[in-house]
Amino acid sequence: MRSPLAGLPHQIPFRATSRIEVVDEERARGVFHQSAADALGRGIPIEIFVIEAMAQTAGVLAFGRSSEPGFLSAIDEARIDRALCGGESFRLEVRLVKSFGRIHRFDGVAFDGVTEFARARFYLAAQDEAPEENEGR
Amino acid sequence: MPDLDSLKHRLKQLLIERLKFEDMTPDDIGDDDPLFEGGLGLDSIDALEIVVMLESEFGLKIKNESSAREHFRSIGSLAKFVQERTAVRADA
Repeated sequence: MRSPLAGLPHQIPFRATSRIEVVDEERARGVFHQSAADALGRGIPIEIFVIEAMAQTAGVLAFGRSSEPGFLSAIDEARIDRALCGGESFRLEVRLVKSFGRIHRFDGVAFDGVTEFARARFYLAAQDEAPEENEGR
Repeated sequence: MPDLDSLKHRLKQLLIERLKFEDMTPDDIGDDDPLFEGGLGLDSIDALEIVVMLESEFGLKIKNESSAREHFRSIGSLAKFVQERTAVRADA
């Protein structure tokens, strides 16, 4: 059986989610493991990887059955309750709220055990179709 | 069902709230101002938020992107669309 992770364009070290389970057409679950306390080392908070992991989990719902590429288009109303530490793991739950045109809106929550650790609204977009090569000539 | 002017005002309020337009009031949005491409300069994410807003506030489901494009042209066209669709639903 093909893993949902295989449908993602991200692979290690750019794949933030370690496991994805598609619940139904509107919901998916994932797991995020933080392996180091300062993965980026450039002043970028590592907690942002939790949001990235939510987006990757949602990507399987939005684009898993399609060969078209998609991308994280926007993040809104993100809230992360505390700093995270290396070695921590989080359970992710994402829900497709609405699709319209090439845009998909999701709500995501990350849980530390049973406690909410982070939540965000985010948007995934299918890449615009490439223009015809001879267009405009 | 509210009259068309009340509906336009309500839609302007909802757009300001939902799209988080800071320091803007309903009076700042003209009835015929384009919502996209110039005018308010909304984008495809804003269009999706309008779809979510129409569903949650008025119970209207929008599925066809190409037909929605014309209805979303301005507050005036959006208000007419909402009024017509809610009237049809009330008659059903």
